Amino acid sequence: MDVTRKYEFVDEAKADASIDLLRNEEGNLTESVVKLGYLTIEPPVIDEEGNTIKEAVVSTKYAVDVSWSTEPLQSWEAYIVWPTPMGIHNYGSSSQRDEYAKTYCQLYPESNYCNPPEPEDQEQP
Amino acid sequence: MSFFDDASLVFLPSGQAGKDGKAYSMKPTDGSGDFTFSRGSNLTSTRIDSNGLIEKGRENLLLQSNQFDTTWNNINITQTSGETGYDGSSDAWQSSFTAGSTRTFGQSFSQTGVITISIYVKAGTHDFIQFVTSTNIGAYVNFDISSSSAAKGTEGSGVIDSSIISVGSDWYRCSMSFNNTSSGTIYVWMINSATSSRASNVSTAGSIYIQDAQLEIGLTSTEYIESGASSGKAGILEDSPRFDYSGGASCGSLLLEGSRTNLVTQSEYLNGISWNAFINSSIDTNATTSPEGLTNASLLKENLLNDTHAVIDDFSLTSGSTYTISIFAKSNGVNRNLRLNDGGVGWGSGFTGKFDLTAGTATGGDIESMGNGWYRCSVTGTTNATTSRLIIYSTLGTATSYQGDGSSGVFLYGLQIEEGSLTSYIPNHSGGSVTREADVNTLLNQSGVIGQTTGTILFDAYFDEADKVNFSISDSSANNFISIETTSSNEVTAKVEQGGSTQATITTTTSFFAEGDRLKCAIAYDDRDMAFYINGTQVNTAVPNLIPACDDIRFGNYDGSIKADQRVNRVLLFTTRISNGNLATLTS
Repeated sequence: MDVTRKYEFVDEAKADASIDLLRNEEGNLTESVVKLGYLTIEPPVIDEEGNTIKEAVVSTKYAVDVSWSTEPLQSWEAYIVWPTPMGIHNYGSSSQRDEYAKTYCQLYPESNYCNPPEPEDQEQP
Repeated sequence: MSFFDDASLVFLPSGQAGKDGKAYSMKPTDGSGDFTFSRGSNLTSTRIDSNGLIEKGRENLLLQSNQFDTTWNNINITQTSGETGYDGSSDAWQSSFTAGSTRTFGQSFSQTGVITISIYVKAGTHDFIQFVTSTNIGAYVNFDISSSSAAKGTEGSGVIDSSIISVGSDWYRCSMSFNNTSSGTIYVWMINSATSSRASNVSTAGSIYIQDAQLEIGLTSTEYIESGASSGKAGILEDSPRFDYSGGASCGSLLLEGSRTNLVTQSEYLNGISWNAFINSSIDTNATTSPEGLTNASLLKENLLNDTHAVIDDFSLTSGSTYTISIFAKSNGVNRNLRLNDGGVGWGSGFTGKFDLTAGTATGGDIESMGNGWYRCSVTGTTNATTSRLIIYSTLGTATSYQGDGSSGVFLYGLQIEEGSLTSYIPNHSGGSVTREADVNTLLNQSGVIGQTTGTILFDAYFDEADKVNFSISDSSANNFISIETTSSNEVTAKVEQGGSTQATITTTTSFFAEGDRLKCAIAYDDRDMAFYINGTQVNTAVPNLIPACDDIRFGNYDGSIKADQRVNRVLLFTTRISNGNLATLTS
């Protein structure tokens, strides 16, 4: 089964260097790689006439998702990140979603995601 | 001769023969010619079905969806099975409770984005229930389920849409759609009245009947899918071959596409997009029936001003890349049409697509009829910045400024921004971006169906993308293959490579095809002669001195790393070289 893993690099050049390790001899990618780029942290503010009042705030890290059909390369492990499932991007795969969520909760068992609120938390009028 | 009888392999996707992970061939009949199919994506994959409707992958995210004494968290509720259900079965349950607080049953879930909960219910001695979540304080809705006055009651601000629909015999299907941001629990809560507050007490004992709960991605409830220890899945599965009927085709084609990402964070819940500005307009959700056949299309609704009526957003794109923007649109009102414009921001080569939603014509873009007044409209542009603008206008004729009537506009569904040319619709309800992975259809280690020293290949497909490899037989190395490829000049090439040396290449003229054209290609070969035919006409002949030994078949190059977007109609292989006259017949 393919697995989704998420990575952050210092910049696009560093990401490309790692992505190049996933190419065959003709330069074609052998894994499904999605370059998410510098993710938007705060959207821009634009007025009703379309003028930008405040520019968007973007991350300083360059994000990449990979759907691995083979064992993930060890050299990529240094860049792995674990956003709350499934982060800002996913591959539309039920099985990859379930695998990522299961692994995430093994790594972060105390996280809110892995400990959804109980009914006692409900408001009682 | 009978081509079918003489062929060593017959693959006809029009027969829709396949299942998850397999695409069946008609010959050989022992299964040795069946293709292995993989994609990996179910929830971001669609096809046009034989009724002309968009079909998606669907999933019931609840576990034990009709087994309420397992997995479900019953709090002060007793569940009894064996009751008569809405479908006449004995699969319904009675939920009984005493008076008090927290009379509820629910199940935890973790899906974020736009989701819809639904359940079939019938009043017993109690008439009022509430859907409520632990994740979104505004996501609750009350229902009166009594047969005499069934209706929705109070609804929280976090509800996108809700409904109660009679299904007969005093049964109702209640549903609630909301935008979820974290993991939590969804409950069916017993309440006193249609106006009770969130998660309130119930003052009398009672019971209701329940059956078939479903939690699914999207804006509306769909046909029920039974689940057990794992989620229930239906429609397009992760490794389902997609047999597609685009363009009103009477026969299906096998849809094969590369990996593609929809950058729009909410492709159907358009009100969920953080639009930079609404210009004299608003968006109504679930306003009409979409090309999917469900009530989940939105309305870009004009206000009463004599001005422009549009929405504007800036998208984070890669500078210097070419993108295709597409959306399904339908006119709502007299002469209301669609315009897609770049706003002059972030595009080096921009677009102004004007779409006549009555005549079905377009300038500055492409338009494809989807039936029932719906069109898929698309434009293409190349960015010169990392933030690029899209403006979606409702127009009167082609006028962007006009007197609004407060109710007309343009129905919209399925907004998509993808790098590259237009591909099939990729639904997205996640709030982020989503990728549909590549379709891969291969038949490996089957030399018996491939002519080793002499043979014939028929490859019949709609060529939706240029400069790719559409089909090959090979030994999975770059040294030995016979392929059908295209160039960036829209030539079609038949190529024979043996031992790392090119033995023969036959190429059409430039601009031989337009993307979307159906090409019936045949290569007949032996070590003295090779002929290449397309659509009944000989392209040329050549003399390959050596024929490669091949045992693998791919819809792409020798290792599958180069694949074309295409819709495959037929593949026939022969272990004999068919005469040129028969090649003309075969490809006509």
